[in-house]
Amino acid sequence: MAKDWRELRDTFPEHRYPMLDFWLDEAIWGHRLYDQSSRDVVLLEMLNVVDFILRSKRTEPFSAGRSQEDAALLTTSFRRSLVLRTILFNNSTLEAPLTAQWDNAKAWKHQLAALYEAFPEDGRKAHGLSGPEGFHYLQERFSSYGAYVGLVRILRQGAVEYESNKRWTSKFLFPYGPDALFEDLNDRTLSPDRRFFGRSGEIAYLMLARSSRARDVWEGLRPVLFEASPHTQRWHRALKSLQPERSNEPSEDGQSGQPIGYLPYETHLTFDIFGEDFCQLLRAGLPEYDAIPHLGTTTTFHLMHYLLVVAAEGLGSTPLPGSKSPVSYILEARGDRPDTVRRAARYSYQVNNELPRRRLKLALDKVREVPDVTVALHAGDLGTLKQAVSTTA
Amino acid sequence: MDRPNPFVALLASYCPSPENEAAYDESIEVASGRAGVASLQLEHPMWARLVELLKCGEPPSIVLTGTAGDGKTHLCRRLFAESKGREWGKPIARARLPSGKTLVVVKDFTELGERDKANIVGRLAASAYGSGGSEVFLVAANEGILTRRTDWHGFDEDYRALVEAEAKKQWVRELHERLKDSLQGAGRESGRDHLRVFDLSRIPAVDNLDRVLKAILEHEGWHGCADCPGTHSDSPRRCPIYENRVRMRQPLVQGRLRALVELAEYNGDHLTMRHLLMLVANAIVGHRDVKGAVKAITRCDQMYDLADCSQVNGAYFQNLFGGNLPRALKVNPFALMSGFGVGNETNNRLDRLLIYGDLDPTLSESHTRLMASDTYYGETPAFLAARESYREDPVGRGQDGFLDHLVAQRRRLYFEMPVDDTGESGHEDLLVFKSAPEYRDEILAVVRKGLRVSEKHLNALVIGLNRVFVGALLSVTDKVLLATSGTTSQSRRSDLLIHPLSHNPIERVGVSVQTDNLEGTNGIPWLIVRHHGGELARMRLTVSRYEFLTRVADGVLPGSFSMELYEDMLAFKAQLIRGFFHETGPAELHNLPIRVVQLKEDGNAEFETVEVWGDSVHG
Repeated sequence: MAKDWRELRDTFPEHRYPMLDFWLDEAIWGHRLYDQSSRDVVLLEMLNVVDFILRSKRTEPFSAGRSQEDAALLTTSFRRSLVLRTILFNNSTLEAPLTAQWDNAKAWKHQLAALYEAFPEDGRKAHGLSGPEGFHYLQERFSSYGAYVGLVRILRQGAVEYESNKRWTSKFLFPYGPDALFEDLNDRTLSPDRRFFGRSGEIAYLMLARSSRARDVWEGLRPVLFEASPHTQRWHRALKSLQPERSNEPSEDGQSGQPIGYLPYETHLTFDIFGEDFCQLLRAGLPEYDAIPHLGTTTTFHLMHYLLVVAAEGLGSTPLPGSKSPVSYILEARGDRPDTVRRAARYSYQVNNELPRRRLKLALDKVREVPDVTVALHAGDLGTLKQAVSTTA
Repeated sequence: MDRPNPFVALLASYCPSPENEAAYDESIEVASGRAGVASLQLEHPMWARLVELLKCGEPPSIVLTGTAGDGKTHLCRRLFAESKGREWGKPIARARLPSGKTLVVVKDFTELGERDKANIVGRLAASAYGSGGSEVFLVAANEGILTRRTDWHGFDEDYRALVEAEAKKQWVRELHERLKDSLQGAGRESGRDHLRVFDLSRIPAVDNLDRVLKAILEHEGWHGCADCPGTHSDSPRRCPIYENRVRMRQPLVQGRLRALVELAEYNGDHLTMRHLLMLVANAIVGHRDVKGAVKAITRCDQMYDLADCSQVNGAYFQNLFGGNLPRALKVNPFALMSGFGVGNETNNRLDRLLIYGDLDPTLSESHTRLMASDTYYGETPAFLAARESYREDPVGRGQDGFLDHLVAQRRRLYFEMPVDDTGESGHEDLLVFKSAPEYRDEILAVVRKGLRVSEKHLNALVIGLNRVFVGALLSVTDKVLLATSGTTSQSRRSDLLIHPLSHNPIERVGVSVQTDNLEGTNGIPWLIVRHHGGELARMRLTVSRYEFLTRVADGVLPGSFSMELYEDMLAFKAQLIRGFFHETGPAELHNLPIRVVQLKEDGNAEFETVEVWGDSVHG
């Protein structure tokens, strides 16, 4: 049975968001869609959720989280892959031995020491690292230092925003497969951080899981990334090269994690369209990883579409003739002169851009009509105001 | 000029204007009547055949398909008149055939309402496959629409009921199959017995061009110019219309125009009969400086208003590229013609001739012949003045006017430069498709005879493909390199090798160029890539793609010639990769290591396997 936010307002979500003063945006749209994430990172976050569910072996991906009850119990913990990330992203002196033309022994000595230095202090014990020799396996595996550098270079080539000046714990690998996925971390505390993984990926995951095409989504996505296909195997071997035999990462067991973001609807028109589009891309027969950027683009589009459609529905907008959606986008293929199409496109943008704000205003207007609110406002009575907002919005 | 020649008005009615955008044939009929001149005597290539079919003892029903502008409405109207039909104009009209049967003419299936569509579909099927009937149909429809409306599976209840009232299901299905055959390239005429389907878009545009040129340039309406002083070459008021006609009657000019139309075909761009009529009529009477919506001279005396304008503004070689038209009307055929770059493409020798020809003694012979001798469209006073201004101040204000003149002169030379003057400056240098002659003579002609393209050309294609696929200046001719960036096949640099496909024509692997059903594709050949397992993928080798690959093989950066063609090639690479995975066994695929493509100094490629622990090679 589909539940909407009005029936749920007395249940768990608020309690999972204790830091909030007012349960307003969240009541309407769920966890706030993060403004800054790039499309690659949103997709990465979603893939991390899928990976976690696979590892936890509880249910099938895009099946877990379908109902509100299930989502309430869903906590996720992603891989940390500290060793891999240190080698790839916290290793500024990697090339130095080659430039200086040192022999292998000297080069390795330098690198192993550098890796140990760079490795987060707090993590060393947990990873069983007592000194540079903890990385000695690398020297054993590669026939030369140059060969090792060659592999690292290739992996960096595909990294997401490698050139940026982001902290090293917020640099990500291309999603070659499950072992290329890991989460955003704070570089001082090494705890999961929400600077780049803002839970939009989690919302996207829930949208797909709750769409009418959930099963097809998984069937289509699995061979691209989550099965032992030729391309994933190739990169899996590459990543395995750089990691120690035993993995000491606590999060691998799939225990204690963070609760997944809140999505108010169990079904929604926009979820189904999103599922359709996602499946279409997977069915296009693109080779290897070609579909990935497009999956990212369509995900971010549909997050935005969800935002606007929910706003429009709340404002009472009806679907446009011939369509099921109350939101439309007029796009202009850039001409060199302003004409009717450009004016219409500008207007369309303005209308859409204002939808969320207008929806919130409507909600606040309704709140103001609640009897005790005016008094509470004057008195600064936060408790009553909170109550009024969350029961009315 | 004593009185205006009404023929000019008729020609002007064929020129593009907001009015005749929609219903070309109708508006021309009206204009012709108004002008009081016989309309163009243009016999449609299919006319004789259609008359033959309809006049015989057991005439078949006929379906005419093709793009808008191929002559469907025109043929319907004329066949209706031929059958003594009266009151042309109704969506469904009737006439009588010599055999005694009734000819039911539907001049545009698309404009019928749903009920009428269903009714006609039923009756058409019955006339073709039922047993004896007194009705014979002539139905004109745009490609695909009639096919869709005869697809039994797609019928809703009401539609089906109406169809069933007239015909059995199997008749309709048979009709549908024949329409599909035509759509899939059965040629210009298909079908048999009581149903014939004509695809008018399959008639080569060059054939139609010849007819159009004859119909316009040799029309009796030109007699009306007989006494006009404007026809004399030394008259101060020489007529641009007449001048255009004189020049366009030259075989040399016609040959050059034909080459352009042919080139469009090689790109898969079909110029319809309407396009060609518009093109030639506009060439003759078009003029940029005419005031009003139609940029063409409709009455001869308009010439007096235009006397002070630059003469080239009414020149046929400008008009052919839509030079006289405002932006909004620069659609096909003019957009297509502009795409050839005539006027903008050039080489040093030609430009030197144009800019300094009168000063450079080594060029004086060419200059006299090509420039100075033509005082009407060549070295006109306007041209001379602009050139002077440019020479004095190339960078400043002298530039604008003269650069426009340069474009006009290049266009004139494209059409009028005689063959024996090639030397270094062939007229084909003035086209953006510099490889067009090679494409026509050494690819198309060869392949249509069922022969193999020469190794030299295949190698160029292989080099071009490799450079795009890898994004480096390789000169590899014995392999086709399937490569990705590791994360996508679509990036500019793809140095991670999936597989090097062997290219060896003798063993029938790698790249080949061949054509299949000639009629169905208007003859554009396929570029096919084969692997030991079989065919991986194929793409149409249009002249623009050929040009792109040969330029890249020559050293041009892919993105600088055409982004669109560049993306075409990358998409083809993705298809090849997919095809390769499909054809290759899982065992072999799972052992593919990560290999980097290294460019060597001599242009060859080296493949370096990236060391990875756990690979079978390294234990």
